[in-house]
Amino acid sequence: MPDKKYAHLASEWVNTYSSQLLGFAISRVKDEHLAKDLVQETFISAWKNIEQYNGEASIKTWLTTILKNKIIDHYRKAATRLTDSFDGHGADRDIFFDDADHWAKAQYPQEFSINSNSSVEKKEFYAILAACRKKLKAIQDAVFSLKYLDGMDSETICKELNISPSNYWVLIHRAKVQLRGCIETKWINQ
Amino acid sequence: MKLHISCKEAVDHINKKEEGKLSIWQKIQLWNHLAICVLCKRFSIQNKMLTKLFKQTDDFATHQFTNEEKKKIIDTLVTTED
Repeated sequence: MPDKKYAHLASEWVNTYSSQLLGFAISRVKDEHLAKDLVQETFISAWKNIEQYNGEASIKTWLTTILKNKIIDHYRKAATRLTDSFDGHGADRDIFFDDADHWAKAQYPQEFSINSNSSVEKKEFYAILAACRKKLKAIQDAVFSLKYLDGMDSETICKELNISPSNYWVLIHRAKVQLRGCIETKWINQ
Repeated sequence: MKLHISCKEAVDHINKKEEGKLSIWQKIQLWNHLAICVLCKRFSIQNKMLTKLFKQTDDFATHQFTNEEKKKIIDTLVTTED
């Protein structure tokens, strides 16, 4: 149906919503190319199913919902790999705590030398956070995003990703401790 | 049930507390631990600040498609059969 009217609509959608959708995707998947692909797929799905758009939600909300579902599908793949390799506590040991489950000496939490009140420092913080999140395992970052960016509770996350509550708490624990340590190292006073 | 918990358990309790998932007894354990452990106390304070910042991540996302990328998506759409 490549007629002029549709071409106009397509360019309106892409010009109006692509940046917002890309920002949303990049906060949730590590890889920029993947984020771009997911946004493109979102536009294509929406385009093909345009009769299903009922006009109740805004176009932006509708597109974001489609994108959200695509991101969760992507997370599910990471979760499936997790169940192959993850036993929760064993093999891959926690370097942050010693044998007595006390903080390991090299990992003692230090004070942050900066606070987050100025907007310049905030910008810097989010650049550091993005870099630190790249070091997380895909499944840890998935749980992190669903919890903090999408505000889901643990029951919903476990159901969406088909993981057990004990896996969930280990994932959150590791992600948290690792991120805090990474942020401490990178977020130094300038 | 023991009153004293390890640092690792304290961090777990802190995470569960965020979701309101601590029993009264666990709250006492955590309170007791944070009163005597300066490292976990620090973790707990920083954790509060960090979780607040984590939640604002979307407000600071600043990526853009290039014009060519946008054009490619538009072209894909107009040539997609529905």
